[in-house]
Amino acid sequence: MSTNFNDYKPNYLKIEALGTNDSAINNMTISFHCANYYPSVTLINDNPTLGNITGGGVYFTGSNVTISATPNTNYTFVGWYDTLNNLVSTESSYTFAMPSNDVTYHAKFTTLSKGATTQFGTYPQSKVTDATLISTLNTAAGTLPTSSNSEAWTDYGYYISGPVASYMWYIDVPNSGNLYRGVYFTSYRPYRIDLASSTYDSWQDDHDYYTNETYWFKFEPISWKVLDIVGGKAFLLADLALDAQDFHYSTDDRSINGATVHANNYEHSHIRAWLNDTFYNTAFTTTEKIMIDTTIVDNSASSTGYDPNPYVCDSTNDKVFLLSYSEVTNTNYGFDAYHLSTDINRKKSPSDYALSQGVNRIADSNSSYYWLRSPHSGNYENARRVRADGMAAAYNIVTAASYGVVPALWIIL
Amino acid sequence: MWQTIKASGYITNTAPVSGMMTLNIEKADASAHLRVFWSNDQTFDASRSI
Repeated sequence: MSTNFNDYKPNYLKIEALGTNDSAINNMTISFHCANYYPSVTLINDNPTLGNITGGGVYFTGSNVTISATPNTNYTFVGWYDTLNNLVSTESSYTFAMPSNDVTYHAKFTTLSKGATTQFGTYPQSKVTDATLISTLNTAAGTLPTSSNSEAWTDYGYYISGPVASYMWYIDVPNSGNLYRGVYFTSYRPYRIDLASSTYDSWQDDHDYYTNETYWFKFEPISWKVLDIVGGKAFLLADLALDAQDFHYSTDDRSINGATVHANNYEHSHIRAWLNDTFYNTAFTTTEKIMIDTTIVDNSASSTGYDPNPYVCDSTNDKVFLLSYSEVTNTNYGFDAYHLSTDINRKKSPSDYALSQGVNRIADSNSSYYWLRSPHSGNYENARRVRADGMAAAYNIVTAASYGVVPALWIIL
Repeated sequence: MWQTIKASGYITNTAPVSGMMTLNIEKADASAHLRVFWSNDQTFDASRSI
């Protein structure tokens, strides 16, 4: 009998006699590789409770080495990383030619799995209903703001009839280890910002949010659906419509750097700026911000579902973004490819806070329309959307302020 | 005859040996039943054996 140890380079041998008889050996020969040094593969499992790894050892230079990672149930292998935390491979069974030097690889696993839900960041969401707590928060918030004096509150800067108006404010107040956001408004936010303020043209009162009242919302962990895990990163989409914002606050063309920019241009839209400033800075801690990858966001015609599309913009580099039409019809992310299907995975319910901001909730489905980043190809005023029933159908005027915001981002695992 | 291993017995090295590439064993006769294990850390299992 003979073996080359399957190209493994052992340091130890054990020869065992099987059965009930003594086993006699006439001769045994071991051949040796006469090198001065035998490089090693050192494997370090960064998450040993989430999976197992094999393949470390000493190998001949030039031989094929296979290292393997097996995640435990419901967990996911992320990848092999070198000692500088550079991603080497995302293959769970990774084969490479042994170099002449020692190598060390870290295996990373994650508790995330595609299609599962995770929590990351915080945002005001559930309405506070405890009367004692409301009283405490009201006292802490101090004097209520007016159009001439915001006091300690911050003006949302929302629009009524076009121009920005001071009528809706917020204040963040810590209490007993939690953070709460107070919302106060003296006029109703119109569902389209070129409209006047009235109960007729606002959804706030339809959801029991009224003028000259203070409402409080607790900062709670944001729940995200894991759309994909690839390249050492996870693609997350918020589970709820977290806020209500217009896509852009005007339908007028603009001139930027000598070029005409239309109202449905995502690169220069209000909603993109809001996501990457207001939302980003409210929802995430410094540590969480480091985990958020800067995504090269595809804004090409093919991403919009219309090709050609005269209103596309360049790709953007964003921390937070809206889904495109092509993403929200991508089966790899768990969506129905048919845009007119009432896909439950596309439906999004609004948070209490989003309702206070004027998002429209369709009662039958407890869900809201929400913006996609894709411009419509037929009109410079329109951008694509997902309907409350889950259809990725049609579009609306960019000044609609009653649409939900469903952020997406990639986090580095 | 080079060596006889008692039934269920074994021989192994206790200090590491570097550079082993191949192993060839010539059994004395058909009654010899042997299994060879190899490893880098003195723990042996069927995944690295013949």
